[in-house]
Amino acid sequence: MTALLEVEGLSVSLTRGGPFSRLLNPFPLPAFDIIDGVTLALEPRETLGLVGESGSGKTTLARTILGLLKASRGRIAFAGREVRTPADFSAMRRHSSMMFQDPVASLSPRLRIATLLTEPLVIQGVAMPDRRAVADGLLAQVGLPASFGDRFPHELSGGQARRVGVARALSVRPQLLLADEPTAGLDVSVQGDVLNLIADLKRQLGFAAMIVTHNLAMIRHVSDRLAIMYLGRLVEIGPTTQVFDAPMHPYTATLIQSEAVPDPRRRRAQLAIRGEIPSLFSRPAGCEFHTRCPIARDHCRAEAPAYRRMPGNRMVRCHYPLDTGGQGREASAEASANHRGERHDRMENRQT
Amino acid sequence: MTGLLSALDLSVSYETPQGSVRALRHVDISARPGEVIGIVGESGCGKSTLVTALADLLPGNARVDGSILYDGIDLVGLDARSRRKLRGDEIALVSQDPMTAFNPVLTIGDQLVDFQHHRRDLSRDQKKARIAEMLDKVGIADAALRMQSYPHELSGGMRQRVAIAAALLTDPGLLIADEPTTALDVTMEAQIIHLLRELRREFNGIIIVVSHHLGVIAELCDRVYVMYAGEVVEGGDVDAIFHQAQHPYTRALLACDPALFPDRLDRLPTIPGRLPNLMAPPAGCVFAARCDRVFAPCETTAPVAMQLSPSHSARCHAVRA
Repeated sequence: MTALLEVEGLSVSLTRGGPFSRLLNPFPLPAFDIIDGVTLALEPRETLGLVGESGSGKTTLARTILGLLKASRGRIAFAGREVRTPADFSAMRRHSSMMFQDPVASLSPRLRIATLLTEPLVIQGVAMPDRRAVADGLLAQVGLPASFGDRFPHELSGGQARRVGVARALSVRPQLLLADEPTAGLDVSVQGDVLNLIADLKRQLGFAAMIVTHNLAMIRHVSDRLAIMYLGRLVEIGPTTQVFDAPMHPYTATLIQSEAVPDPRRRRAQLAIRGEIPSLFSRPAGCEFHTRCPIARDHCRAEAPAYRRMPGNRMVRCHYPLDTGGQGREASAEASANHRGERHDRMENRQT
Repeated sequence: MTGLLSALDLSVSYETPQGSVRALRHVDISARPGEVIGIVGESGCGKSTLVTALADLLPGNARVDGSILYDGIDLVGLDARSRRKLRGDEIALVSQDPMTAFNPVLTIGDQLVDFQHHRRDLSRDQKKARIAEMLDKVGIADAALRMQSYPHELSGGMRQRVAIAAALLTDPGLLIADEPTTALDVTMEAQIIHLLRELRREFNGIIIVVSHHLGVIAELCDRVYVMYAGEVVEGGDVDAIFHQAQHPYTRALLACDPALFPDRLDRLPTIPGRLPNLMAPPAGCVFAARCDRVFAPCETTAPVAMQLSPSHSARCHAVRA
């Protein structure tokens, strides 16, 4: 099976300073990467969770994939075809759509819901003999009564606005849905509603989804695979259950441990992590996580780790991935012995 | 000064052109010095109205009935001047977004000096020394440097630490933290929880933490009140609330939190239905329309709080002591 979406070595750079300072300054400040070398693939019908703290670049990555931001390096392919020019991107957007973070702000306040829902089809030039009937159908699909078509966005509750967001994103019958924080700001009792709706429609319509979120408790129930980002780089990617059971990157492990547990009998005495995510303006040398990493060594401060393919369809970007304690499942004893040997070799190399 | 806090039969309604919104109805809560009290509930449950009433910061269109006793003084009947004094000296509030709590054009140091206006006995230098000590206590390195900074120069987590320091500098007897970690990332949330836990060891007043996040409440609080549609539906020790919840709403709320399920669920649990209209709250139980244990009296008679143990009570007809 070919991947629906392939992203290879994708980077997004920003130039520093405004247009005037760039005009006046013969030696402009170097551009810096807000996304750096992201490689991932999404299979048809798969759900990928993209997780990270604010400033990790997860929203930027999602927007770049759809061509809303310009990549500086790297390659994007959709359904086996490379996407390069603006025309390619707009063709791709015929089959992929985005649910934006703020559901009310992403709906124009002056248009009625029925108009908003069918707008993507108008933009894509899809013939609609009866626009209202199409809108009613979309509303029914997300469990809202047809009368909502006459409402304005400010007349909706947070949960209803999300449903409209889902309906609008699915109006073009996409093969790929990018959902940016689909549950941010929703109560737990409503959050499940929106996610169940996306899951039901996914089963029915068969699209792939990429869910951008910082909510670990939620994403573990709705994603097949998980990609963890830190400071614009992907640090770990793998099947959701395995990543939660046995994280390989120390950042993933601390992120999981940092979650507040709704059980007073399991209060954590120790802090898993201190400090904050560093500024992109001053990306730490070597591994970007070394400033907060509990197991950082000299090697980490000097050299950035490369992606490493690990057993069980996992990738990690760390010099000293955590021992998964035989939890890599498919990982044979031999593989883990190799892995330990490799670590040993490197230690020796460093000493020489 | 530290004292007992209690709200007795407290009701708040907001007068609007469309009618009166009965945001808080017949709430009873109490807190002792040294306790951390959690108030948990979803949007629209009245938790913000409750703490705003406790901090005496309700808007002009609010009508308050019942009483709020702090150290034997009833805040509701008090004249404006004494109320203001009590609010400044005794009650401190840490808000959800600390950016809005600070003046953007003054340095952190200047503002923290102003927070100590009630300490007439201290000189400016002494106040600055107290600030440096307090910033150190809340985990801010380079206190001297940070006092020269403006609020926008600090990160969200750092601003929240400064807001906590500011609140503590007023030597309050009652510290209210309204959604103290909602605007923060999970790693910073863990650090702020850790900080509040460390601080309570030395702080002997009352801390009230308001949150919709069950995890934060479980990590921090000694006792918890669960609110729904303007009422306290259940109250008890944190362990009782999380492990022996009696009210159907508390149970449903706990059952919805995906963090409580270690294994992957195909469908996430939800609470079907919606909040009642608070302009005309139902005559019976507020949760009856969404409850799975509803029976005859629920629709018509409002349940009274049933005392299940000295510290545990639930407002439900189906609960037996």
